[in-house]
Amino acid sequence: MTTHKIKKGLDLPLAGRAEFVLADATEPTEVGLETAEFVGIKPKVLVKEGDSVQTGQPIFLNKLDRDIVWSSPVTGKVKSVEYGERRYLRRVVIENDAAKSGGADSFVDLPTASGDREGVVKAIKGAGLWPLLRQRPLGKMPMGDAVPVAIFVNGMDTAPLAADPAFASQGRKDDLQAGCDLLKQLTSGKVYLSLRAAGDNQSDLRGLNGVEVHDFSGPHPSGLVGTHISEIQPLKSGEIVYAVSLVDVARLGQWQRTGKYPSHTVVAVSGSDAPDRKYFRVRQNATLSTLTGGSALTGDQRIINGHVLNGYVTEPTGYLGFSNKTLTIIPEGTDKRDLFGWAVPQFGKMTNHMSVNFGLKKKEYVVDARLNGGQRPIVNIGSWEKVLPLDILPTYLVRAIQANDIEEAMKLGLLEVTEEDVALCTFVDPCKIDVGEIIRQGLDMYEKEA
Amino acid sequence: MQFLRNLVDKQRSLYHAKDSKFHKVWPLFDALETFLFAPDFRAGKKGVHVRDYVDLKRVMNSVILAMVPCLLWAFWNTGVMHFAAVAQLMADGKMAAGDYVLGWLQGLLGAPEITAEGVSSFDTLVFGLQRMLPIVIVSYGVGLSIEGLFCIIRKEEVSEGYLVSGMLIALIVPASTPLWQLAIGVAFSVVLGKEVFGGTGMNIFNPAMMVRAFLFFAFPAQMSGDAVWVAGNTSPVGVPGNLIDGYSEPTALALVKTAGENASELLTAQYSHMDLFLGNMPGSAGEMSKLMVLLGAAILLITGVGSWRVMVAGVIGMLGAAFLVPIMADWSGLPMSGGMYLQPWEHLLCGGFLFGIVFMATDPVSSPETNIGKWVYGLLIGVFTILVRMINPAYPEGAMLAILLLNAFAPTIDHFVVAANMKRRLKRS
Repeated sequence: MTTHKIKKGLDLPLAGRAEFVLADATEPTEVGLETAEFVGIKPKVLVKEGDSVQTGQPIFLNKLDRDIVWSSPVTGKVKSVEYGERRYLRRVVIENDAAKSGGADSFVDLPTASGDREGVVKAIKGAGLWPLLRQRPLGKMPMGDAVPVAIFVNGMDTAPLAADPAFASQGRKDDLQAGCDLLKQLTSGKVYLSLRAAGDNQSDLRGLNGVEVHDFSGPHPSGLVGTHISEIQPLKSGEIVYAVSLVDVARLGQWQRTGKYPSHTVVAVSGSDAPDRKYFRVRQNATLSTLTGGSALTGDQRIINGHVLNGYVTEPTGYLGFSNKTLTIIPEGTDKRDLFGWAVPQFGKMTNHMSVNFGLKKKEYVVDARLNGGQRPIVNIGSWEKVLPLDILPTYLVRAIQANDIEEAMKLGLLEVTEEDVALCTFVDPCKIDVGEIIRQGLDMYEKEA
Repeated sequence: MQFLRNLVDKQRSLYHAKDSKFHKVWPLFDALETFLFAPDFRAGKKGVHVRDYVDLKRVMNSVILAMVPCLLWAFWNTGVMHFAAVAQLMADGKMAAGDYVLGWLQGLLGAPEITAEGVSSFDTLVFGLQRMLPIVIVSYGVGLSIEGLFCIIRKEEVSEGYLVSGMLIALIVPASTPLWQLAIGVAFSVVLGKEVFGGTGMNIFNPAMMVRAFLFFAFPAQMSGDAVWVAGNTSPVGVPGNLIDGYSEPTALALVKTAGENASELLTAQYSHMDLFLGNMPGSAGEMSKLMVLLGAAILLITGVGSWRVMVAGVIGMLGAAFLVPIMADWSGLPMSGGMYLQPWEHLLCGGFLFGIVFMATDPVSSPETNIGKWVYGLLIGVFTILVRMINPAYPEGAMLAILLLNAFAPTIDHFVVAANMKRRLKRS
């Protein structure tokens, strides 16, 4: 076991941490599978409105690799199949029989993984669990035949108010072991497990066989897989690795052990405006109202599928993301405009800059979604570098992407980062530049050229 | 406040929409509106949902706050120096009490009472304001007008960069500078030094330093740094400046330049070390008081807006070069100059180097962005300042030239640091 001490970074002390209590959420009346989470896939829907589906039955597939399917997390009737522009499948909504009296899940028998790597890959794809994996570089669902040189299982999350994977997967040692054994067959190299140094709920995790445990300490982003890769096994050119969260490893293992689709996951509900802040065992893609006290929120709130540094806004009537582990609810801050906000000291406002109010205090902040300023060209006063532990020169990387110079950007380490790795740069930037968006543009350009 | 807010919201409709009456000058309205109220922007639907409370306005505002001590000192000391020179001329019998010509503010507030004991604090301050306020107003007025015009043409929000430049300019030109010269210098610098490159964040040279350099080369008679500037109310014949006729003194550095082995004594005979440190001497607002510059440096460092690396490296570079160059000159048989006989720390007290390294060299846009690059950049500014002071035969002061030179080389310095980063990456694969 090795301990990696991350020095640069920033922990945002937001108010509204989820209590370490695991409760069962009520059954949702319906679930919604959205394609928007998986940028770049070409979905083909396999069911019609009115069809009855069983838990684990394929709902749509990816035309770019027809083995990859998304399965139904419930048993019930298909309520609607919604399309967006150019008839691109947007969403499939399925009613949940389990929410009705007497209803219960009826599972499709899913073949479990066996044989060589190819067989294992095919089984995971067929079970609808392949989308749980992420590939680095790019930070998307793995596509193609490249064999990963390692797999990084993330057992920690240092993002503000994010769910703790170690807590969320506690008591599932057998599932975790089965999942790790499965991952071992996917890679030519090692399976690494990253844990928070001296963290809680780790006794099961440290006993897992076949994985190499690495401890990480220090501020966010010490819990990001991008940081882990650069510390443990930096990628050589052409190499890929898979990244997967501990909670999803447990789901993989559960499927492998039972042959049934793992229809439930654990989600932490957090944020200063969340009505009930704790961990919920909840059905995948459930309606958000099951986690917000039974009915949709109506106030001036921002509901984030994910955490404040990496997530997307969801309507109060929307659904949980496919493998989302945190639901964060913060004030939106519509039309709140401070008089002379730039000039007077702002005590009580969250900032990493001494010029505002001498920096972060030991307190918890309630923060809304305001930018607190106008967008400007890059004026680098060193804010980005202070929060980025990777050996990357962020301003040069961003400029190379803005100049459409992908070759230069790759030399500067474009393939070592995704939007989540530079999220803190976006947070601290006085010029209000969305660094992550620019990084993603660069990665898109790279994909197009490759 | 709601009243103000309603007023702004009402006006907004006249400017905001594409087809509204005054949409063409929307950037100007926006600048004014966001000066009052933080803009109503919120994070996008994807990515990062919370943001630091800092914005560029506040960053720039911190720099302006850091310059306030220097400005206040200039208000005061410009008057002190003026009346000291007047008293000197009267004592020498070159000027009669009736010859004193009043300036615009003195005309409004009453003539100063010049007695044997000097003048009152009020009269001192009145003269300082009389000279400095027009400089500040012209610097901001001309600069911001041009910036505003370019923002209207580009349909961009007005950036805050010039708020700092405008103040810097006021602090680095002599209080005697004629306003028309200043206006031309500002216009030149903002258009050719900044806007042609794309505005804030894109310029190569520090815009304020461009103004100084323009005036330095365009009007060398008043700006070369040889003769000291004591501001007055009249423009002597043949000298386009608001000077006191018949009064001139060499600057500290000019004094040193022409001196030999006795440079240190010659300097202290004119200005004691304490005078140099506290700023009890004539000169540009920024170069006078080292104490006020250090106060400003403290504000920049505490707020984290100015780079400590540049400042520390600059001082180390200057002290090191001031120590080594005389030794090397002695050893290689180079002709010795007055500057070489000065102690290294005395160099720090003379001229505008300290102001330059604290306020001008730390400009985030025209300095290198990598941390190693900042060290190299600061060191070289110190070294080149000393080289100009000691070896160059023409100019007594080298801080301005050193900073401009290193501004030009900033991208080159960064290039090597970036190349090293790429090489590390390449080595892995």
